[in-house]
Amino acid sequence: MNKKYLIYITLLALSMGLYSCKDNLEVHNEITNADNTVDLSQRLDTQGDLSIFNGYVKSTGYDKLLATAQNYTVWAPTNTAIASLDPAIAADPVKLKEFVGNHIALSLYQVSVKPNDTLRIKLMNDKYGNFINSTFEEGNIVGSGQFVKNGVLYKIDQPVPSKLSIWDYMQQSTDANLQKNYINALSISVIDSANATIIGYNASGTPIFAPNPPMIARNTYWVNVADLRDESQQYTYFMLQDAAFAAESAKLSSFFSPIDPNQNAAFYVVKDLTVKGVYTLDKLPDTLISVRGAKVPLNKANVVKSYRSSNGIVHVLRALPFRVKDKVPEFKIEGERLVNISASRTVLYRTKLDDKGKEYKDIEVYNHGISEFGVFYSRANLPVVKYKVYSRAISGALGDSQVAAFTQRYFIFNLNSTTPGYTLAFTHLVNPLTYTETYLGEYTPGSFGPLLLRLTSAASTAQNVNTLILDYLRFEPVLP
Amino acid sequence: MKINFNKNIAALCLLGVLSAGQWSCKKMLDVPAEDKLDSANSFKTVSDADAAVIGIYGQFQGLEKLYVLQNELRGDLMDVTSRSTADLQELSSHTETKNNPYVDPRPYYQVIVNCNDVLKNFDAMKASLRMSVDDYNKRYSDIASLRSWIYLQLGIQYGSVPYITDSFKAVEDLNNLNTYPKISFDQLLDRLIALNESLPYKEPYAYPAGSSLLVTIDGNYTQKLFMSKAFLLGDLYLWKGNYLKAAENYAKLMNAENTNTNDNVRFNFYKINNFVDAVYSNLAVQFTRSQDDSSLLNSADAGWRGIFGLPTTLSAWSSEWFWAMPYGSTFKPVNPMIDLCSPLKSYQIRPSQAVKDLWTSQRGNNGIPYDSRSKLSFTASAMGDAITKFTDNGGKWGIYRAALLHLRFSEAANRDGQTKLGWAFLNIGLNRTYYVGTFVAGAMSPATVAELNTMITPYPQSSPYYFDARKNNDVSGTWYRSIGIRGRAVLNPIDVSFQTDMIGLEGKLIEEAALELAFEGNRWPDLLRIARRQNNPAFLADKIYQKLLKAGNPNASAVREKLMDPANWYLPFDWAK
Repeated sequence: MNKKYLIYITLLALSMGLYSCKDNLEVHNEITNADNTVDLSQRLDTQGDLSIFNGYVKSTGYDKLLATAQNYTVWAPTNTAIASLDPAIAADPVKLKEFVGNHIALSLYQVSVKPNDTLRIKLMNDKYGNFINSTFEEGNIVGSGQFVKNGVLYKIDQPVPSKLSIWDYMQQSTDANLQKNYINALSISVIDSANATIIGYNASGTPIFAPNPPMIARNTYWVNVADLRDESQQYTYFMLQDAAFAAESAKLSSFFSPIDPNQNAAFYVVKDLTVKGVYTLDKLPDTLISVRGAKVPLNKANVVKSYRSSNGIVHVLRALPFRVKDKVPEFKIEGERLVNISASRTVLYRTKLDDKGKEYKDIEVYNHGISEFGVFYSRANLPVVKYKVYSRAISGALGDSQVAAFTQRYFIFNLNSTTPGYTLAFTHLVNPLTYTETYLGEYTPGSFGPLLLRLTSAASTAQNVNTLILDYLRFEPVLP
Repeated sequence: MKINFNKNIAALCLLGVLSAGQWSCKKMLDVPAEDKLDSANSFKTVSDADAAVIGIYGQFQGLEKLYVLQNELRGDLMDVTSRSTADLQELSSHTETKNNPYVDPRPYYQVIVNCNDVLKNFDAMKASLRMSVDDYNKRYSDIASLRSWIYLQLGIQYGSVPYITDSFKAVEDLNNLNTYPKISFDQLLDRLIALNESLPYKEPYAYPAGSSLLVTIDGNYTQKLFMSKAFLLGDLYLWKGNYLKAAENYAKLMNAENTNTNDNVRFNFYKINNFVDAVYSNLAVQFTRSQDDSSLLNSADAGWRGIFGLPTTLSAWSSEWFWAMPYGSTFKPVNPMIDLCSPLKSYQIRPSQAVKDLWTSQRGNNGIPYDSRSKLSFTASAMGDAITKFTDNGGKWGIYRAALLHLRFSEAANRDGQTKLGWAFLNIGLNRTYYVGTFVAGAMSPATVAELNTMITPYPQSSPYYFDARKNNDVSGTWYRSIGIRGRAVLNPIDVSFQTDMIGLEGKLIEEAALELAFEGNRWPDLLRIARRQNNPAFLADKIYQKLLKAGNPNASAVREKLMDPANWYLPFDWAK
């Protein structure tokens, strides 16, 4: 009796062991209808309802690719689907090759069973397609995938002609001419290093080009904001109709008036017209954050038209009223993020807790023995507006030897003077354990350009007198 | 016929399963004994006895992994990683069963059995005059103490255990271990105290200068390789609740070098100070620029981290340690903690969020808002948090050191009514706590002899609580450099109100042990000892609950409930055969 019982337990244990060999993941991803005797090209030949697409594949030469040993995924539109295709595509061999290439990807992709699991797949025409569950771009997969020895074939119910990139769409569009022309003008000439003759290398290893090298134009928007040609990224891009573009530029003209057209008021409009990710009209929120970090206030009613591009979406707007405070923001100069110091001395980079237990980082330069010791800070592209300037500097906290009050000064470089140089802007009496900000005064830059600031110690070599401490300086714009 | 066939298959399967089980048992029992002499005939001269002692310690060192995992993973300072085995995850979340290899007490008994055998042979050597009484006293006391230390561990982990001091004939007897009569933890403590008090040699160091067992081998000095008998005796009394006797034994070690003619040894050894001397003392948390946490001295060869990384031949290392066994890449055994701790290896253990939060909640006396010992105890990286205490410069298994000694002494003194003394050792050291007198520019400057004498703790010289910490231009008391555990770590002292709050200070001492001694194998015993003493299961259960809660373990509340019952504090003395 006992023995029998043991045997059953053993058998049970063994059979459990066998079951456990198959895990859930495997069950989900299991390929059931595989046929390893044919390749994709041969399989396409046998599919009657794909004959038109198969004809295009053969006429564009992709059939040879699909007979090779690498793995491919083909989303083939059925004959009924192809009926809706623009006849101009089939008529033009170049467009047709682009069209067919838009349905084939290198490597094998399966239908994901997880909801909204998005695969963004590089296609043979160097565009990217989104494969979300059983939809490939606009096409829905009909039936299940047919797995053959070099890949998988899906049937889809819509043709998927290749789309323009955001950049190409903007170029051929006439909806926002002012904006387009401004962006196209944002260019600099650089040496065409691919075609220039290299005559040697300098000490640091960079090439020396022959005189008068060939030059090539580069649009600065691609570098300073976003490369809208990049097929691997996805952006939402806003095109402003001319009236809106002119109005927004005018709104900012008093703050941004540089010599460099790459930095003028219009630039401060267009820099915030690109947002990362795709926001279709129905999903457009009331505020987005641009790739340059400013708020973009949106109103769906202002959208005139939308275009789904290969690398995102374009919305044409009749108005996009930016708030000036998002374009001319308040900013801080952090004490610990200094650019330089006037002499080689120990700078304490401190991490401390304030009176409310909140952690802050600052710098202290203590007992350095130099009269008028300087710590330099800078900020680029300061708009012309009146700022109220506040400072926070905490002395005398736990561990700090500076327990006496001391005075430090802030000098700002004056670019517009006949004798450019640092001029005294503010004097700051630092009382121990002052955790609140101290109001220093007002500052209005003479012109658009960089802010160069020097934190300067007292004109003394004495310990406890020439100390410098800075958590941060806060510049609050006074906007009309 | 058919039935028979099935039966045969089933029997074969059963046999297969059973034999697999047998193999796994064998693996566990086959701990290789380094230099072990397996026959009584081999005990002929004192050299043979020395080889036996070294052999026992070699085998003992193999217990490190089990010791650390049982004491720390069951506690709240160490946590499992996403790569930890199911066995360790069970141990960490207190859901272990007898099938878990980390529950098996036999590795401890393996060493105990060998100790028993060696002790029996030592007796025979003494009786037949093959070993002098003097040599016998030291070696016998050493191995008997080591065995007692293992029994204390068994008591802590399993509660009631068999106390076996006679030698087994064969190793197979171990499999019948749970048929032996067990004695309770309390009875075990009594037996161990009686035995250790009766040992013939009880000096602070196991072997005096000149002993054949003190050598430098493979770059390591063997003095602190051997266990510290007074430390163990202090621990036994502390567990038992005899606080004065505990303090006496601890104080014996604290003052072990007081009469050394080398002042560098006298002022630094076991005193916990922040004195900087590359040879004799360099173990404080240090910053090259005060207030600037980026200037922390983070090196395995200097500062607080040097406690774990410095070589055993250096006096500075010796000024902290009483008992530690070194590892090296050039000799066996291989340090098992490298594999457990390194994210580049199997990475089974890491610091818990609970201990990280505890470190973050401390305040440095230079304004740095966390305890820098965190950075010196583990290294954070994108791969994971690697505990470095076991592995710096090859690593050592460190068991007893001065910081632990001071905390345990303070715990005993506190329970014996000397709460202020405990506070002093925990926080700012002796003279800064006790001094009453003139200050000049913030520094103690006694104007009279009476003021100077306030730097001596107010006890008679015969008391274990007497410490001379006087300091002026003429007098330097032995303890004048004492700065306290928190002082050495550049932390703010806890509030002076704890100088009169016994239960409060006890909690703070255990908390400091977490900060200072994290991962070293003291946490579970600390929680268990206090929970037992205060008859307060929540002291233990809440801490484990917080660890599991912060690690996102959904069973945190259930585990807390379980640990509120003291019966569940101990591992089952049972294992899968």
